[in-house]
Amino acid sequence: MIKSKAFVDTAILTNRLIKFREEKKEAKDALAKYEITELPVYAIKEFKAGPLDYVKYLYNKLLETESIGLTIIALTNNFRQKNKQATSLKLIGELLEEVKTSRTNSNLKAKYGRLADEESISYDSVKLETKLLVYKAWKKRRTVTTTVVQPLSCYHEKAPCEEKNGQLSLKPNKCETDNCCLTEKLKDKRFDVTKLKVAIDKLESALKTKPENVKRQKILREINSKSNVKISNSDCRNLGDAVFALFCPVDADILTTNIKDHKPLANALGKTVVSPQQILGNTTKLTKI
Amino acid sequence: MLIRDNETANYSEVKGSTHLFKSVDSEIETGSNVKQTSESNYRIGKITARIPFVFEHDFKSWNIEDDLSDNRDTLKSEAKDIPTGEKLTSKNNPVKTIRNLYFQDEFITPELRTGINLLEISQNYITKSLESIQHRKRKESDEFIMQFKAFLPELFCCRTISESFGAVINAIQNALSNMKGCPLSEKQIVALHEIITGLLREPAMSFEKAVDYVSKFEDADFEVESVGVEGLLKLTEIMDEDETELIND
Repeated sequence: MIKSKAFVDTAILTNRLIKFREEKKEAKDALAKYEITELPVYAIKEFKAGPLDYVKYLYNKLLETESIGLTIIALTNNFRQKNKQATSLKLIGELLEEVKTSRTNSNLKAKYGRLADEESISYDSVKLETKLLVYKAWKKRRTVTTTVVQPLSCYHEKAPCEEKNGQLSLKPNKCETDNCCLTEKLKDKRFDVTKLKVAIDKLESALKTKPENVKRQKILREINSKSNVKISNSDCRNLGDAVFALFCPVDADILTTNIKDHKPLANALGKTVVSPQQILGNTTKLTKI
Repeated sequence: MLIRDNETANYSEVKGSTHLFKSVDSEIETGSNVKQTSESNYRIGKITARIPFVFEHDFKSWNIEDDLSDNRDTLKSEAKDIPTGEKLTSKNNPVKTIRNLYFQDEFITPELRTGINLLEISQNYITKSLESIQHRKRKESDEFIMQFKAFLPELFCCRTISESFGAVINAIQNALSNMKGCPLSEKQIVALHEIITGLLREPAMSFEKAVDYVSKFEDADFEVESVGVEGLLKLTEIMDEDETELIND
């Protein structure tokens, strides 16, 4: 049974803030179905260091190349999986076509010169939109859920800023300590940590050997075996989905798009994982049960 | 009567581009009795004047007093003809006098002039669209929006006004394009009116403020992102996926 409270993971936060159309709408609608939605600061930290960093990277790359075409070449250079490019290039093509047909004309070109040129309009449009997306996502991060919970004392939520050369910076995007504030909390949960370790061991080979599970298993083992264990920033990041399983309140569902990775961990601790599709299949608003 | 700058000190605190409001002060004091009375009307002593000028300037390096001294006599002769308390008309508008003296052509770019004019026309169409939808004239309302949309390409050509100006106009273009021709709801027209009015008030607003405006605009069920950025972001993400699969292989 679906609960009335959701513990929101990074994928949902990402979809709500920087994804488009269906993914964004699905995340928004799923969140609206819950009476209480909680976002741990850990998700904000992961979001800033991961998905938001991609948007920042794109903006900086656009700034560096000063051209959409050159940015595409830079991004796809040494690409092996050519088939994956097709969808992306089709979408970019749609924008370029729209600019050509409805965002400029010969009169504007005569009056404004380069400013009305298709290439200049497309480039400036994409560049401005990307920058706006970074700032907008950051501004809205604490508004997508009803509450933000579990602050991390070693992590400072600093807003994006512009460097002297115009490039965007998301620093700091990691903890400013060599011993994460989660260390003590994780030591208190050694029994649960063991359960997670066992759950990863039991995973089918393909999942178990995924780089993220290998790294996660290593740090879980260290927490269990070393009394003086210190969790660094990279250890903290490598824990990833395990943090959500460990710190999700028992009366909440972990709301995520990534059921496959979350479920074995959450189930090992008797917690539930729900996807937006499952929630949206349920037509009534979820109230306290 | 002397002409003084309105709170010059404040300008230097504003980073990058900012607004400049010039005023006639009947009390000689520096701008102390200049108060905003509505979106674009400013009360100056007993005179209410509409201040339509906004431009970018490096105020830190601009000495207003030097600038004033060159034109003080001219200003005196032109400004003394406006008795305090008299209703402001287009003929005795002191702002016009100041515009001639201080808002020299080199200060106002053609893009700013066009941008302000187009925003005023746009605001007018949106107001009419809003009135129409409130009178249940949905088709008429949509026609006004279509007329407004025709100005967006030229407004984007005025993006040199400021980065914020470009970002806001671009967000509006994307939002309307993503509507794929569907008529706007009353809630959306209100949001459009608010964002255009905001831009008219501050064409060179800070980027943070532009983010605020667009975030609020987006909340009226608008999608302000384009397919182009979606495509580019997908490419950026695939870069890392490709690398991960390479490692796994």
